[in-house]
Amino acid sequence: MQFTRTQRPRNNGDESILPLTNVVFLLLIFFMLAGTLASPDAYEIQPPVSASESQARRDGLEIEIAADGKIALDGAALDLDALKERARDALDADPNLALRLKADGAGDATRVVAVMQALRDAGGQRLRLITIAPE
Amino acid sequence: MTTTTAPKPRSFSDRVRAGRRRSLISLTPLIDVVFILLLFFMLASSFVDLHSIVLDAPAQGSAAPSIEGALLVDVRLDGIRFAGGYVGMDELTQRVRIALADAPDRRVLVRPAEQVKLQDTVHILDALTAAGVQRLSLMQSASAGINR
Repeated sequence: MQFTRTQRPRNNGDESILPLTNVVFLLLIFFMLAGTLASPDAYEIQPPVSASESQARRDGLEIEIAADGKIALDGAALDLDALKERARDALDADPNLALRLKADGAGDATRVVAVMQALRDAGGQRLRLITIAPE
Repeated sequence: MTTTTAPKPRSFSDRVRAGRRRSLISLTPLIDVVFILLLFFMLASSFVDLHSIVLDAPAQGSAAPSIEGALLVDVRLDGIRFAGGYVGMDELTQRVRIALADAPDRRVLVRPAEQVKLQDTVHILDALTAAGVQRLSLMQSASAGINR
């Protein structure tokens, strides 16, 4: 039909994309502001559920403890002695450094305590255990 | 925007209008880039609501239980031990609350036994925090210190 052809000129195609662009821009801004970039974890970790109110901060060192007891520091796997050494180096530079323990809730509590003890031996004062809020 | 074009004298406003239309056409690559950025931020961002438990109090080594006046809560596979006997969760919080009534600064140490899951320990930490414990810490059990 001739009629429908004249109804949709070429120019109109570009203009109808504008609302789409607006929405996409809005989404982009939302995700940029609301989402924090996830640091890559060395292991799959499901932190324990806790009713704790205090928000986790994102400064300091992050120590990850997997369910099977493996440790990683800032995304790189290492063993307990190496962790102690690295933590001591970092704590020498800044004794007030916060240490975040991101441990799996299904893991052994004794393993976490052993890592905490190692961090305290290295001079760590500020220890935080990362948890997630209940559903 | 108007779709009718004026074929008459090329004035300044006409040229502006023409430039605007041309920039409209080159919008497509821009949208491509924005889409890619959007995808990146959607995939790379995390919305998990992370919280934290403060475990600052420096507990001493397990070999020398030199922390005077601290309350010790043992978490075992078969239950919670406090002050020499097994207690339930409610009884524990009640007794800790009584113990803290005269000395709110008192430290409470939680000592998980072998094979106790971290989640169970965190439940007890939660209960103790709810009971008003300010200085909370985890402690290594004596056997674990030797094994590892």
